[in-house]
Amino acid sequence: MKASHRIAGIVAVVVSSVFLIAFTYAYDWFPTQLTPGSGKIDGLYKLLTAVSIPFFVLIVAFMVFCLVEFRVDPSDPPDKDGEPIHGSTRIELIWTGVPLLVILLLGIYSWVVLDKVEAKQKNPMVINVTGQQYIWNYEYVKNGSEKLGVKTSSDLVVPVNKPLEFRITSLDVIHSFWVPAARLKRDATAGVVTPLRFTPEKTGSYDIVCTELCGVGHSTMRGRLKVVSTADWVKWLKAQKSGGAGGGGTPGGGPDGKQIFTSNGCGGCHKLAAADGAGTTGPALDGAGLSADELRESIVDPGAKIANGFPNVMPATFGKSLSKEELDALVKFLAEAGK
Amino acid sequence: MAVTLRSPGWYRAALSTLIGAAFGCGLVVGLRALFGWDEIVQAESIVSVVLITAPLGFLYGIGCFDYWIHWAAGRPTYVDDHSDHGARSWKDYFRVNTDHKVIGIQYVVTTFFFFFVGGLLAMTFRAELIEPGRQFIDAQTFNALFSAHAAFMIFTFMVPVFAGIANYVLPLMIGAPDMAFPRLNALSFWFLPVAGVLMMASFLAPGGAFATGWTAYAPLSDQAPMGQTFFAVAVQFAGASSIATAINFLVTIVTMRAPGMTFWRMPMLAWANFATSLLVVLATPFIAGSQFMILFDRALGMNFFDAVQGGDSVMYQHVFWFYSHPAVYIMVLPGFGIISEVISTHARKPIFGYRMMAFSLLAIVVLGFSVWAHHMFVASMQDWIRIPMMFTTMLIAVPTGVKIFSWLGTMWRGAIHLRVPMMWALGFITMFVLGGISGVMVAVVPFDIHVSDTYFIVAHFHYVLFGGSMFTIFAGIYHWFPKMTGRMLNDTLGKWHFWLTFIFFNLTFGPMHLVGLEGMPRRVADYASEFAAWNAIMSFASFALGLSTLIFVYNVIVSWRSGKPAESNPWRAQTLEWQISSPPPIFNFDEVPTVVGHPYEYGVPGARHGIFKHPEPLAAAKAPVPAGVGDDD
Amino acid sequence: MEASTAHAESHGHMPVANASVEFNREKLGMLLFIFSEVMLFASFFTAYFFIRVVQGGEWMPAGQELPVGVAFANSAILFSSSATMHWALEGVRHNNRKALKAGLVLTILLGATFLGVQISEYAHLGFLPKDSAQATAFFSLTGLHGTHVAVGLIILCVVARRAFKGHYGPEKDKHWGVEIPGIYWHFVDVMWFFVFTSLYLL
Repeated sequence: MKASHRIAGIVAVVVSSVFLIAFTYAYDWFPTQLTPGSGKIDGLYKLLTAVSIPFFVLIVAFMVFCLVEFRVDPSDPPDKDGEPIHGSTRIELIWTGVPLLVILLLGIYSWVVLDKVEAKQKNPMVINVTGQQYIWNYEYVKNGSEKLGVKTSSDLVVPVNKPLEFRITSLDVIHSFWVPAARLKRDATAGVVTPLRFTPEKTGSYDIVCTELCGVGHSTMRGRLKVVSTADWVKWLKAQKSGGAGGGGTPGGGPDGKQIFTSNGCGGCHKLAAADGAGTTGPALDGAGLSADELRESIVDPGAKIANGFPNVMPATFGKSLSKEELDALVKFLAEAGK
Repeated sequence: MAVTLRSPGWYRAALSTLIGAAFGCGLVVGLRALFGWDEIVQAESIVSVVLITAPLGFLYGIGCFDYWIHWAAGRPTYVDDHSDHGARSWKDYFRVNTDHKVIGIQYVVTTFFFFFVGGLLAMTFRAELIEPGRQFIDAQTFNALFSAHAAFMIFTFMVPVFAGIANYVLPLMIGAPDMAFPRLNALSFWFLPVAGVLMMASFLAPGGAFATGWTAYAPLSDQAPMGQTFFAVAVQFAGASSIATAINFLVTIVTMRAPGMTFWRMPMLAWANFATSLLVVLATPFIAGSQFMILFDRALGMNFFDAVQGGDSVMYQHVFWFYSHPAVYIMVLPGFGIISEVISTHARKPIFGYRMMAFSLLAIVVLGFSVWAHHMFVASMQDWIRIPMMFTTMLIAVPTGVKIFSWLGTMWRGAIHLRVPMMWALGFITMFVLGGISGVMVAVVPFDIHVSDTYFIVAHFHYVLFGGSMFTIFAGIYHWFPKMTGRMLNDTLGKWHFWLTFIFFNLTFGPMHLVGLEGMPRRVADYASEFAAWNAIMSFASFALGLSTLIFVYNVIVSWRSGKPAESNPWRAQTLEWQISSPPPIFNFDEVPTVVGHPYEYGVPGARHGIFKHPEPLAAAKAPVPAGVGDDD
Repeated sequence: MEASTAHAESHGHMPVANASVEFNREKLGMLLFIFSEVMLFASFFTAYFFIRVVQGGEWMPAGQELPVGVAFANSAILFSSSATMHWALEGVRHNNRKALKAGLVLTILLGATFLGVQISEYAHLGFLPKDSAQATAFFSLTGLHGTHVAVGLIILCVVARRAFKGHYGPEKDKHWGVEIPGIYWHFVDVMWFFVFTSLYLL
């Protein structure tokens, strides 16, 4: 091995490692950083990558070096063998010990990061999140000590800079509640309530994604997290309370069918222009022209008649979860809107 | 016809499959009528039972049980004349054969068939994902496609193909004339097409094929249409196959090594399969258990996973991953063995740190049982389990690292022949290191919380299973093809195959890391438009990746028929299988060789691994003598 | 390397495999199979553990009581069958064919009695596997065990039939066919100890 080769090799390893590490830090693949925790997790990713890169570069460089230096060439005798080196206890101890040390340090650091990311905040706003095929239901339980008692199934609207505590569960199969901008997710499992905490720092609209395969409509189970200013949020809450008390009401009293359609997430699967429904998992309701009885049956017992070309996946729980008045209002609304 | 129906074969198999199905049907209906249950003809329970009895009928018909039935009937046992040993024409590969070499080829060819089925399924759903929105398949079919892709690749390809390669090579390597239980070996193989056909048949089931992922998480799988039952039963057959094979390997390795072949003189492939088989024997029953629970829930209305009744669906994940994490090592440890053989042989160097290589395999076996919950960091389990599981998971990087570094050490000052198997081995090291690095990253709890169930995970396990295991399988096939068939594979085509696979593999799965970080969940038929560009690239690359395997198929078919005849030892290797003719004689050895040294003493003057005695050529065929298999009286 | 190549045409017989350890192959195979079986039971015990401890429901729920007394007597029957099995094996070892046959027949009768009592217990329990998760755990564990008893009985019937036909002998290699099914039978009994203790007693 020539000295110039050795130097060239070392330079190549150092330069490519430095370049790759710099690239990792310079280029950001992640979604927006919504919470203080987001930054910590991104930082952890960059650290892990930066530690890994030299290992990878060294391994590849060593391999290439061996290929160049020790490859047989036609001038070698045909039965040429390598040197009978069987091992070296010292080298083996080093390459057991060094990775062990690196791993332990990374593990401890990650533990610290986890503790920080999951730390409890004072006076959080508590929101119950209930997954259901293929929608998320939210119940605003309390804000600090103030009771809220608002339910919604459409967008999740929260005030900025407020510590949030989600209590996640499911009505049916397992779902997973993921807010990529917060870098956090947690499964929703029937019979178990699991917490998830973060504090959004930026106003805006962010994705909520279900990441646990939950059936045919899994890929449509996407929602929005709207982070608004405190004033806007208070306004929104007031509107919800006046509009949604007792399951929603119209000026003439009684529940509002359109709001029930929206708050139960019907639009996630069914297309209906009148209520901004845009889903394609289930049959479109625009121009469906169904009678009130047909609509009622399709809501209470969705498996009774299946529209051609669609899977039998609509939850059969609405018959129970909606009150009689709500059901009547929804049927009335659909019969009119879907003519 | 009457004669053909009485002797084992495909006619009898067809008939007995029908009888098995009718029996299962009658059994369920009869029992339900006997106990006066409301619904006497209930589809789910009938299907569950028929899917078990019909394949058993098939296995009887094809002849897997003939000897045992003969024995159970109390007739005098006879000395096996090994008339079902060896293959004289291609037809012999389509009947029950007790020759480990025939079984090995049956395994490899069958599993590669399922590999292509799984690959076609993958390309179909990659075509659907080529742009956002719905292209040409609906969500149910999409879910079925990726579920079946994973199920075929894992249960009918990755796990059994290693059993196939080892079936062929391992007895030769340790100087055994066959496996310890040749008839059980044949049965294990025939379980496999049963499992594969059941999974394919699920596409015909009402409601479509199983569509709950290969993980079949409860309670979704409890409620899924009937295709799920096909999956649950297929897994039982595949699991029985791998347990039986693992027991066979363990007994063969422990009791049938050639004289002088101590454990510390065994080739690394034997060590790797020893370690893998331990994992299979201890872990596989857990997936059998998990799928039994699902079957019971579905057919008998049991409540394993129903929270309302006091069941626990997180329990499913614990039971499932207690198998399915070790399954990852089941799918890669034999590959480690292959890579050790290939690198040592083609670099003409003793394996660097042979004992540490063996110990690191055992360390992975032990640690492999203590990491299952890292698949559940975001599941609804107790939080405290996460930190210990994170540390044990990260620790596995240490013995794995030892193996990687030792392979590199093996190349140091070698005389490297960059032949096709060696290219695959080096490709394996680079890709597997990447998969290992992303593995350590996803072991880290806070980072995993972000990326779990995203495309980052999809990228990670494809780097481990395709860039890792699949590359080792190709390395193994290119390495032992001359031994198995007596023909050399075409080198140029092999190099083309390697480079195209290597490039398009990275183009297909590399970008998945990025879209995963950006926020694309896995297992979705539709995705947000911001991921469209990368998805198009991945889809086109995946088609090219699929096409590149056609080169391999062409190469194998043409070389097998008319390739250059292989010498007995084209790589000048030292392990025993290379010291006999290619392909090996029907009973492997005239007489079991004596092992006098280590298997990788390249460059050591005068070193020898095995000594063969050469008896006088036998006059005509003598009366067969017992191989010492299975006759107690 | 110097070992020259053997030739295909010179092969007419299978060489005798080297016995690299003293241990009998079939026995080792059975022991490994039992490891695997223990793990299968372990997976159902995991389900039991989660249902009973993690979910923390009452064991058993009101109205779903288990008949401990009957099960206790039944356990005694099954455990005594291990003794008769051992007697049969000792019989063949000492060329006492009467003991072999009587031992096997007794073992089969005891095992069949156990299975019969178990089935009648199922019929008289008054609840079904679908009635609660606890019932699910109970039926699946006892059912899994019962299946193993049934398989054991079938194997023992085959062994008995061969014993009556005059097979097996006291020589070391002549009674694996009794010893190995015996190992399986003892395993089934030991497993019952754990199933019985955790379902009925704890």
